[in-house]
Formats: sequence, C-alpha cells, structure tokens
Amino acid sequence: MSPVGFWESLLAARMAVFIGIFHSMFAAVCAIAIGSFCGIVMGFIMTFARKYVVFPFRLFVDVVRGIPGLVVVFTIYYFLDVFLRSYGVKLPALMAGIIALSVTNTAQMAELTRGALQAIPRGQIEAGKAIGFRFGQILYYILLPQALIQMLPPWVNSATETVKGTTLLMLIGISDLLLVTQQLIATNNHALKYYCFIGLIYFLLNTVIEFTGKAAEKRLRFDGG
Amino acid sequence: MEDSLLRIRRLGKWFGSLKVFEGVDLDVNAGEVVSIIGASGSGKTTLLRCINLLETFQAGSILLDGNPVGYHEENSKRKRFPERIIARQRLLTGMVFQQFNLFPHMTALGNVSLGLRKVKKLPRAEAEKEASRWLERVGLGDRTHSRPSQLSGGQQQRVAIARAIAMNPKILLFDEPTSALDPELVGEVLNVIKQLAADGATMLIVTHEMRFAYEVSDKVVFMDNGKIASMGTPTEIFEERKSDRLKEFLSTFNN
Repeated sequence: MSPVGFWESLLAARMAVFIGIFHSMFAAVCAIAIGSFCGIVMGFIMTFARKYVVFPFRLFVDVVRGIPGLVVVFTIYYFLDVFLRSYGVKLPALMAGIIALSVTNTAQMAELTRGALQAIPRGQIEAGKAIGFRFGQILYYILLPQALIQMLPPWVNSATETVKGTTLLMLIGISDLLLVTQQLIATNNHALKYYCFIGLIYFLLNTVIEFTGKAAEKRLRFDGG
Repeated sequence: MEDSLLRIRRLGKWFGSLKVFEGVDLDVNAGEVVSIIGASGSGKTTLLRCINLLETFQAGSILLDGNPVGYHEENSKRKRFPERIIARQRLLTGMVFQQFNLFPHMTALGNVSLGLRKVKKLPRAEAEKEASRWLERVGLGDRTHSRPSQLSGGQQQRVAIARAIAMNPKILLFDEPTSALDPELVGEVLNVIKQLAADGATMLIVTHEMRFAYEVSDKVVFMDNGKIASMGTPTEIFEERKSDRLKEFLSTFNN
C-alpha cells in the first residue's frame, strides 16, 4: 500500500487537475471554433474561386493534412517563438498550441467543406439563380445550410480528434490534463488509476460532443430517413 | 404591329467549336403558349436556358419586354451585363427544371417563399401567405410543411411551378417538366400547366409530350439540328407535317 491513497491524492491535487481540464478544453474549443470558421471559408474558396486563387489553399490543406499533428505543433511553436521574439514578444505556449491545433483543424474542415459542397447538385445553384438570387445569396441560403448538414457527422469526428489532439500540447509545456496527471503520477504510484481516470474524462468530453452532434443531425437532416 | 414579350433574333450558341444552334428567331406574345419540340440534342433545352441566362450565347439578342437581356452593345462591342443586373433580368423569367431542383433543406412553403422574402423583400408573414396561395393553386395546400423528400415527383414539380410563378415573371419557361416523372404522375403536372395557360400565363415549354403540346399550345416550334426547322399552329405542325424531317420526327411518337 502506498502511503497516500488514489482518491486522497486526487483530492489534494484537484485544483491542478481542474486547471489541466480547463486548459485542454479551452484549447479544444478555441481550435474547433477557429478551425471550423476558417475551414468553411477556405472550403468555399477552394470550390468556387479561380484556379490560381485556389492553389495556395490547396497547398496549405495538403501539406497540413500530410504531416503529423505533433510536427505541426512543434513547427508552429518554434516558428512563432523565433519570429515574435525578434520583435521582443514572448508568445504564451497556450496561444501557440491553440494556433497549431486551429491550423490542423482548418485544413481538415476545408477539405470537409469542399467535399460537401461538391456533393450538392449543380441544379441547386441554377434554381437559386432562377429566383433571382445573386451568388452571395445562393451561398448563404442554399449551399451553406446543405453543406453544413452534410458535414455534421465528419465534423463531430474532427472535433473529437481535436479534443484528443490537445494531449500533444503538453509537449510544448502547456499544463494540459495529461501533463498535470503525469506530474501527479510522479509523486505517487497510482499510475494505472490516474491514466484510467483521465481516459474517462477524455471519453466523457467526446461523448458529450458526439451526443450533441447526433442530436443536431437528427433535428436537421432533410433526406427523410 | 404589337411588340412581342419575348423577341429572339439571330441567336447563336457554341460550346467551343461545337455549334448548338444558330440563327434562331422566335417571338412569344403576352398570353401565348409556345411549345418547342425536337429530338434530343437539337438545342431546345439550351435555347430555354439561354433565355433564363443560365447559358451564355455568342451571337444575336434576346429582348424581354423590349429590353435586351444578357448582353448589350457598348462602343459597338458586345458586353455581358454585370451579374447584379443579370440576376435582376432573370426575374423577368421563371424557370421550371426537368429535375425540379427544389431546395431539400426547406419545406414546400420555404421553397416558394424564399425568393419572395429575399429577392422581393416581402416580410415573412406576407411572403408565406403569398406562397401558400400559390401552393393551393397547384393543389398542394395541404402539403405546405412537407420537405421535398416527403413528396412524390409530381408533387415536387408542382411545388417547383409554384416557386417559379410566385415570383410573378413575365414568362414561364418549362424545361421538359415531366421527363423525370413516373408515367402515372405526368398528368397532374400537365394539368397544372394547362390551368396556368387557361389563366393567361405566357409560357415557353420544351416538351416530349406531343399530345399535351398539341392541346395547350398556340404555336409549336420544331427544332432540328441547331435550327428552327418548322414553326406553326399545332394543326400545321402535327396534322399537316409539312417537312420530311418533321414527319420523320413525329412518326417516332405513337400519338
């Protein structure tokens, strides 16, 4: 038996654990929000803009999707750190982490959006034109809602991936849930219990996301199924 | 001479070097119903889409209510109107598509009222009242809150007709409105179109329904190989069958 029980040590470290959960959730929520917004905009550009406008976005998406999340996190962290330091600014690690996760998420969402938009029949655009809509109105009232509904299931997937991806942030020194837990484990020998505990927390977070997504899907779907 | 509502002169359309049609002249007067018949690939659907400015055209002009649409002359150069103006010009015509093209994420009422709200800028309540009125006219007063996926093909096409006519266009364009329908659903759609014709709507209809074209039209246009090959009253086209190509084409239909 260890001198301090699992629950006692957890209780004693509760503030650190809360901060860990908060950092992880905050990073995930920011990255999902920023990534969704930027990704959807980028997806529209990649579908409807001229070729030479699309090219840099295409390159960005392919490059980011083609390298591991961890490499993205490190690259952005060190790049921003060096860059901003030359202006005498010290970038908080959490900020760098959020930017890195947002970049990954943006690339993911851009590709999802592009796929969803391309799946919409051309006749929808023509029907919009036929009632006198201009392009912006067609995007907003006809294409966007249909694309969003199509995208919901893969969006939930990518959101849960982002929550899991926050564990990478400990590697640039952010005291996320995983790092906090590892520090706690170092002071006692409840490693297995602690890992089960944080596993459960990540699982619960993602279950909430998936449940919300499913509920939204049920409300919004229009294919009559 | 009375000015026609739709006046097409020397219209020409190419996809690259491929000619779709050339030298097309056509007039439609207010209140007239004109049907366009012809084999697949004769250019009749493309002609209709040019009138609604969904296709570009390379030669000739289209005048709606006396004004050129799509292109205008500027310093003796042919220029396309900016999209903002094109969008407004499209309001002069209403289009009913072969595949209905209803908005799947909206109810029947939403489909019909969307343009009234966002283009005609009617307040929501007023737009929906107007939309319900048109849905009733096409016999769907009880399905206003159904999604397209909950409607039959014939019902969907009737919603599409209501959507087009609710915008109060000068002329309604029908692009093979019954070609995508199961045979037993064709009648209900044709009846709605006949009713609109009887009420005095101006219509240009591309169709393969010869009996319908015979019954509903004031004028029938036979397109063949990128040209208007014959034009005349239904009697002239369907009974007198003056040209060999027309005879050959009509003989492929049993009625």
